[in-house]
Amino acid sequence: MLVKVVLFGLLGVSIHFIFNTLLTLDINKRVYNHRPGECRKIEGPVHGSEDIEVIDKLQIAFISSGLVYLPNSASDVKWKGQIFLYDLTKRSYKAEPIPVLNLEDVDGFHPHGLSHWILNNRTVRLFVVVHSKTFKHSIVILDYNSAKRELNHVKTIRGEKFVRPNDIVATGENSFLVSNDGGAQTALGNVWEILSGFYKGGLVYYNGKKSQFLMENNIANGIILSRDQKTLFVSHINQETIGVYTWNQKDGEIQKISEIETLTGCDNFYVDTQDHLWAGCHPVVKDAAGHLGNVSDSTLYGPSQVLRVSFSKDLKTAEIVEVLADDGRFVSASTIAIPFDDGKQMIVGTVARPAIHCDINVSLNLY
Amino acid sequence: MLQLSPFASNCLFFTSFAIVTTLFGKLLLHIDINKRTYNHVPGECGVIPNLPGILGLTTSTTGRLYMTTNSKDINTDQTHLFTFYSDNRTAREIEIRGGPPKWRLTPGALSINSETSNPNVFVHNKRTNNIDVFETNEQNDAWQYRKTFKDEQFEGLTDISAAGLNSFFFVKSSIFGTNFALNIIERVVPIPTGYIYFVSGNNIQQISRVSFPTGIVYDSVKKSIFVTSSTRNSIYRMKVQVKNGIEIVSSKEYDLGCSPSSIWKDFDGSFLITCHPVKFRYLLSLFNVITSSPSLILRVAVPTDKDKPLTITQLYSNDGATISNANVTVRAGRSLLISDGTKILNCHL
Repeated sequence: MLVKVVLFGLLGVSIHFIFNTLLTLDINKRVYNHRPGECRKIEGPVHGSEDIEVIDKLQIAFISSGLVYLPNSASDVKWKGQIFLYDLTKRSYKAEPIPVLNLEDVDGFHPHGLSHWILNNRTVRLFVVVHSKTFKHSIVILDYNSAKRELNHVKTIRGEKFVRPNDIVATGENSFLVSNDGGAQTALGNVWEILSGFYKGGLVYYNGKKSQFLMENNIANGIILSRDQKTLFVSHINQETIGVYTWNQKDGEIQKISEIETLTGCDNFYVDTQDHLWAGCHPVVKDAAGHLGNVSDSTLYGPSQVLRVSFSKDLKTAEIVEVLADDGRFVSASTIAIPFDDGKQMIVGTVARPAIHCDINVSLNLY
Repeated sequence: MLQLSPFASNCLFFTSFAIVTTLFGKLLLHIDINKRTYNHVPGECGVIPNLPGILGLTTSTTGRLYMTTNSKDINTDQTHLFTFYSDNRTAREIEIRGGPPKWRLTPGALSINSETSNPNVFVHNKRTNNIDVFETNEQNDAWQYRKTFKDEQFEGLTDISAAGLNSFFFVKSSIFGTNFALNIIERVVPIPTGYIYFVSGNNIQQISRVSFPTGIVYDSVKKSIFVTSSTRNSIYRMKVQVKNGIEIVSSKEYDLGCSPSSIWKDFDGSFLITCHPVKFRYLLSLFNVITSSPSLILRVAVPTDKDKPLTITQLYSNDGATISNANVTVRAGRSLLISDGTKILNCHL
């Protein structure tokens, strides 16, 4: 009798697991293409444009390229990690690599998430999540020299709480929030973590001296603060939701407000001047997984989606507009989308392919 | 009493359990429980005032758009025929001339054949369940009654597509058109309970069975009929040929990924298709559990080469707040018209 109960329990767990796997892989989803206007690829970043950071007052964008993510071995990494600079005032469709000086480990510089802070002396400070070829993690702080168009290394921060950092948001000259998008350090471990639901990622706050966990046993991909620095948006990418939290910097605490179901894997975020949240998303996980499993194979691509999320005043509900959708042949596995020029243009970054620059000629408010 | 051994009964139980579980899982995926819509417009949109929703429509080769609309009076089921002018987004009701004594028209699905200088329109008369044929005159908004096709198979007609002066194709979605519960099952379970018919003169011929067909278009250039299947989330391309009667030479099914509810052929040969992107919300709205359901408009190009996939572009998407359960769409000039049966949304392309 007890054996029967145990066997039926295992049977139920198995069925639940299989069905959840099918839902997670999005096997019944597809993408219908549309663009907001004319789009062109940006020359320069060939192997990825995973995160883009716009400096409003300088009208420039930094693009991180050459991401290393859960590599099988260091010898598989045949590309260089770089940071590109793109001038938003020109339609050059060309981004230039800028030198990063005085790095501790030049070969091990593979940038991931980006954030910036304006220092008191008007210097732009860039915070970069960095992985090495062997997938060791660190946070690198760089100061931008606009006269010489170069980045100077200031500090490298490592810590055991940076389990698998993905995105970063600066909260001060030397403080930041970092998201861990999981705990596994191998591709196979990551698959098991996602399918089993026992997430080991979370959120870490570094106050300039030490780190503390704000969120544990969760999954956090893109993170960003609202322009008033009071609200934190977190992408729970494998749960296909956006978490909205209050951020109290004085106490170093977050409190949950709501969780918006997007039913698409939103990656990195940008908050525009009207407080709309822009996200680059992966609408079909199985295709994105196939592409990301072998990023050097140009015949594999993942669908892309750009969403603009408009929150209610109490931040509990949201309306979502789809600005761009592509099956991957033009823009593959989008991660970030940033509007500029009063919302008339936008740039979209991808995990491992070139970024694109689009005009926005359609209405985003009437539907 | 048949006595199975414990081993055999265990095998039977677990096999049945596996089959039932698999079917249930497939059903959950089929009704799109992990899907949602994201709003998207192609340009400025607005509701056309003073016009109720479209029931059916057809476009002549000169671009003249005719449509059947519901009544403004919700207490009557009388429907109306209009000509739509895309330049100023107005409509004029069509005057019917001729017709047999005591005959009245309650128009439903319609289709136009433009082979002559005065094209002929085939209209499903929902009052009589016959197909009435009219000769149009594009100099004014008057139609001259020409003849009537009568057959009991016209009851439950869903869509019609003209093939010649005296011939047309039509589809019927279901066997149980009037039984709500059974009709719901037909919408969800992909079994071929729908019909495709061809009518030529006095002959009516059933040419295929399809799972819940919602729209049909005959393309005389490609000598093919295109049929949308709501339950299978697909569009069929069937090449037809006149031999002893008409027969299907070849058939190809393409997956759309959503539940199509209507099809309209544009002049470049592509199709505008309305879809239910989230099936379970559509079903809930049918049961009046929720008040709205998402709408999706796609432009679909079916390739001539059988081995190539569809090219699909999304033109419009809405979560139901603006337009719910869109069931008809058409491009008129630079306008995209979308209707849910109660109003017409006009979007600038």
